[in-house]
Amino acid sequence: MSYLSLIDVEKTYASSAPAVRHVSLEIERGEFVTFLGPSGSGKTTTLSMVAGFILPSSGRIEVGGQDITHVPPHQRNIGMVFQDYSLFPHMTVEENIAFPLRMRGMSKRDITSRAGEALEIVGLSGFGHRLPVQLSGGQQQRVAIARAIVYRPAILLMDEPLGALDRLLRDRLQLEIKQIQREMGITTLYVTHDQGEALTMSDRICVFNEGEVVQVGTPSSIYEKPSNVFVAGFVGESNFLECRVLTRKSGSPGNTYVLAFPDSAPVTVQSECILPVHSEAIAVVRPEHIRVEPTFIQPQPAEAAIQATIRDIIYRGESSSLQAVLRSGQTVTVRIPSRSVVLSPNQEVHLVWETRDTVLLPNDKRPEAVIEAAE
Amino acid sequence: MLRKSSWLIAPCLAYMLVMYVTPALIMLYSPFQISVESGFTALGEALVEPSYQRVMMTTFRTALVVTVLAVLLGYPTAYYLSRLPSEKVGKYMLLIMFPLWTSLLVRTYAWIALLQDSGVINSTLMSANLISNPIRLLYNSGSVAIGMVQILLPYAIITMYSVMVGIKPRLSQTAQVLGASPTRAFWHIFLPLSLPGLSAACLLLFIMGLGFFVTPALLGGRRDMMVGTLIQQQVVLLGDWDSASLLSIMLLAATIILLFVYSRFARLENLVPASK
Ligand SMILES: Nc1ncnc2c1ncn2[C@@H]1O[C@H](COP(=O)(O)OP(=O)(O)O)[C@@H](O)[C@H]1O
Ligand SMILES: [Mg+2]
Repeated sequence: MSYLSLIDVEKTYASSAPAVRHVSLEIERGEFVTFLGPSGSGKTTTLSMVAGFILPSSGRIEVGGQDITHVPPHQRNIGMVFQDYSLFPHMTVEENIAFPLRMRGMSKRDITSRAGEALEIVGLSGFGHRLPVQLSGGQQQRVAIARAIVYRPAILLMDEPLGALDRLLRDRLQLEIKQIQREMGITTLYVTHDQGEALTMSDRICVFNEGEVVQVGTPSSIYEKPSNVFVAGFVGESNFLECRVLTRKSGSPGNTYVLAFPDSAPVTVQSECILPVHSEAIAVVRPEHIRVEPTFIQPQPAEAAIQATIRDIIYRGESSSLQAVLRSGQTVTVRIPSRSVVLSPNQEVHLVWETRDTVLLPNDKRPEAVIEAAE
Repeated sequence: MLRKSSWLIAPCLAYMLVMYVTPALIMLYSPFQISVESGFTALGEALVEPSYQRVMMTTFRTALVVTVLAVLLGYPTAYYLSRLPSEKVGKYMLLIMFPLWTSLLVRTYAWIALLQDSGVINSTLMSANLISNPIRLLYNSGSVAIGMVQILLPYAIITMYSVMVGIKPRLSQTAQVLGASPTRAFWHIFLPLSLPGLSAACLLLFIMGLGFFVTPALLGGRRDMMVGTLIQQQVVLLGDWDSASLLSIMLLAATIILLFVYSRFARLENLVPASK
């Protein structure tokens, strides 16, 4: 049975479109679930409803089968970490961490030992007497984490906790947070707009767009089987190739489609998605799944090949990003290891990929719009 | 860039030097004109002069009472304003500033009209047969306090607001998820963080209260004379500039000592709303 449930939760701020619509989620005890989505997609609003800062306009929230929708924040036993750390500036590190314990009426001795433990967990023993302003951003966030877990809350909420930190520190804290979370077995809701962060940390990812949850799944299922164009564009890089359904053969596990691309022989693709014959569709292919053949070779039966002209090669360290233009004018991005680049701009090539790496989606949205939103 | 344009403050500086600093110094210098020793002797005598001491006590007591009242009244208002979204604060601020744009004399005489024996309050009470003789509402320390509080209140609110507005609402939210009820979040987080504003308002009002003249002169009685009134009498009625100067020195010294003590505990900049 799930531990934390959001049941058809909705929030409309005064006189505007709903900020969060029909959000239903079932979260297991000890699970690490990430809310991923562009800014303004309703992640903070949803988290604030779980924390109790905002009352849902409709729907309810349950923890362990109990309705907590109307329970005030201080009675929810939830821990929370914000992007701006939100440490109490007039209290020392130790007093900050002791605060939730004091509010729970714990004895002085217990408070001291528990706060000491929490400081040790976040690697800040010896910093107890400093004031927050005397700490770096990363240290402040560690204190905020210690403060949020010191009373062993049932649920931990984190709203872009690493958003204000630099890359290296972020990578380290990602691992540390994940480790603490796993050791304490604490049910965690984590908000980020960084897909890389979501993919590395989460047990499950819940992708938000325009106030709605558009896909929920494990990191690998989100990345490998995006269920719509938005997710495919937001999580990782994607090429969206327009095509048309020629024939469909129903079967199990999925349907077999024959697709027509401009400038290519028909391509056979397996998909669980249901598309009518003759409809327009989008084939999603990840840049790292495409390889470039300088000369034409007959594609294998399980491969697809499209003619293209190289426009640009962008060096990115370990890999290079290749921009190739199809006859239709569409640009396709290919990711290849930098050391194997033997190509030059304006060269005619063939782009080849295995058909099982294709994700087929209905063409209901202009992919450009999605890519812009993702950026 | 900034250094080069510092001549911009020169006109104002020159004006203040000529029009404020010089006359103030001349005034303060007056008892020391004959000799420095005789000046200090006179100052020593003034300090132990019983009638001066009584006036000084009244002045300090009145300033204290007025400060406490105005800060108590102003704190909840400043708190409320500081929690409003910033775009909504403007119109409230206008309302708070408005009394400052009304002539001090008008406001003070209005109180006389209200409180005097034949004033609105007494005549209403008498016509309602609640009292048979007018109550003496005017010319006592109560009427002075009422008059001064309503003049000082805007300064109290603005000074406290400017510190409170810097306290992030997020902190109170955080305290609540951590297990503090809204009331406890206020006592543990907001109140301590607002103390610099509270103390600045207290100091500012107390200093302003010490030097008040018009309101205590018009609304106060002879027995509760404040030092401002006494100084005025020394000059206008008795032509005794030296005494007036000695009293001014005592007032100025009190102000400087208060500022000094405050600066040991908090930033003097808190006294100026614009500084952040
Ligand atoms: N207090 C508020 N009042 C009105 N609208 C708000 C408020 N907070 C958020 N919104 C709106 O709700 C939507 C979702 O915001 P938010 O939950 O903060 O998104 P995210 O955290 O994903 O960036 C946005 O369109 C935002 O403008
Ligand atoms: Mg947000």
